[in-house]
Amino acid sequence: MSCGYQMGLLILRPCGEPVAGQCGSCGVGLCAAHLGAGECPSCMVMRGERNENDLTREAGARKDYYESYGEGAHFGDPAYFNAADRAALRPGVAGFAMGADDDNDYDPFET
Amino acid sequence: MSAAQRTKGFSPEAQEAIEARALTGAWELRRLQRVLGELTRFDETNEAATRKARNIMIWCIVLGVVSLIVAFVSFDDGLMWVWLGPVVMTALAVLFGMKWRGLKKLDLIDDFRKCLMPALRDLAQDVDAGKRIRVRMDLAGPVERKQISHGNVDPGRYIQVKETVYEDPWGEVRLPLVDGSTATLEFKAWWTKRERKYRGRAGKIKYKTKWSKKYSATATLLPAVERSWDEEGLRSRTDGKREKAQLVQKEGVTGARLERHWVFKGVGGPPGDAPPAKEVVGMLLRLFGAMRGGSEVAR
Ligand SMILES: [Zn+2]
Ligand SMILES: [Zn+2]
Repeated sequence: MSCGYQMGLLILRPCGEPVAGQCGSCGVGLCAAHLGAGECPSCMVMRGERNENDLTREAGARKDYYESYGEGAHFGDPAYFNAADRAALRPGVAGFAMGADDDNDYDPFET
Repeated sequence: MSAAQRTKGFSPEAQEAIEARALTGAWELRRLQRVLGELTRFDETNEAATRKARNIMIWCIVLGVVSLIVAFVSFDDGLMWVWLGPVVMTALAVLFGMKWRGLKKLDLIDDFRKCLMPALRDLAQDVDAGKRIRVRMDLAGPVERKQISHGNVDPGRYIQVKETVYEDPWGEVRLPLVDGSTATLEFKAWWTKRERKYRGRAGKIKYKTKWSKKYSATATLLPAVERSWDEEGLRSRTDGKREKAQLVQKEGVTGARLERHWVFKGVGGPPGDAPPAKEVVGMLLRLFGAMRGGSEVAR
């Protein structure tokens, strides 16, 4: 058996190292590094412990990306990211055009 | 603290980069992150020192004027030493003014630490640790050699508007990923300086300098072997107002590219803003999402 913890942000793949135990929450087989204190980094993040170590910080960042980009759909699904973009593409930001006159009156830095 | 003291203990690569205000080469991820961390520390302390030198200079000018008035008032009493104040203050103002200028010349653009470093941190787990990251970074910002236009433009409701544009393709990073694909990030900024001359409410002539920084970041994903792309899907996830998606033929494979734009503004000095790292990484996420069949390693 090899560690089934899913690593990566762009490229999801199982870790593959020899199993040393199981995640106490989701039951996935884990290597020594991913087993940590008995739970996989993803389950620790679910419980709000994202600043525990580098692995939980990575898993936490991934969760943020996937939530803002995915909303339930799986990575690789055609529906993936649709909601994402609406959230990420914040409206109200000035459009881009080289040479356009952006010399408008509104200026957030104006004092 | 002198510049040499501030870089004490830094790696030779970081010292070289600070000297050149540029960073290039092929890097191991951890090494690159370490050097960028050193550059960040340098830039932050240098910016603090620059502010301090400027503030001291301003205080010296203020105190110089005050002591000059005092000297004039008390000159009738025949006291020669009262002139010492203005002389010393003027000398100090010049000294700190020179220091301020000197420090400003060492400044690095903030973009590498505000955008690229956090992006690298998030992408680290997908980078192939056995390969090197190719980097080309120019951290000097809007300097004369990047000037592409300069002159008076239509002043509109002002008396005169002088505009200077600097084109600054400051960064390129080529990341080898664990599935054999390659992700490249390219950053380009156009800094525009507008010096306005106008009449204030009381009829006085006033000057004001405004800066804007237009930005484009381009993410390109080149798969290890020829793959098909969900072009329609990618386009549907693109914001037509500020993004462009296209397929590209490069290095023998069909890759996909997303380009996104931003505009930042500032008064007085060039804006230090940079695209949020999340939005840059988000482009790569969407490119990966548009690769049919997903990633090799993911299967
Ligand atoms: Zn778990
Ligand atoms: Zn593992």
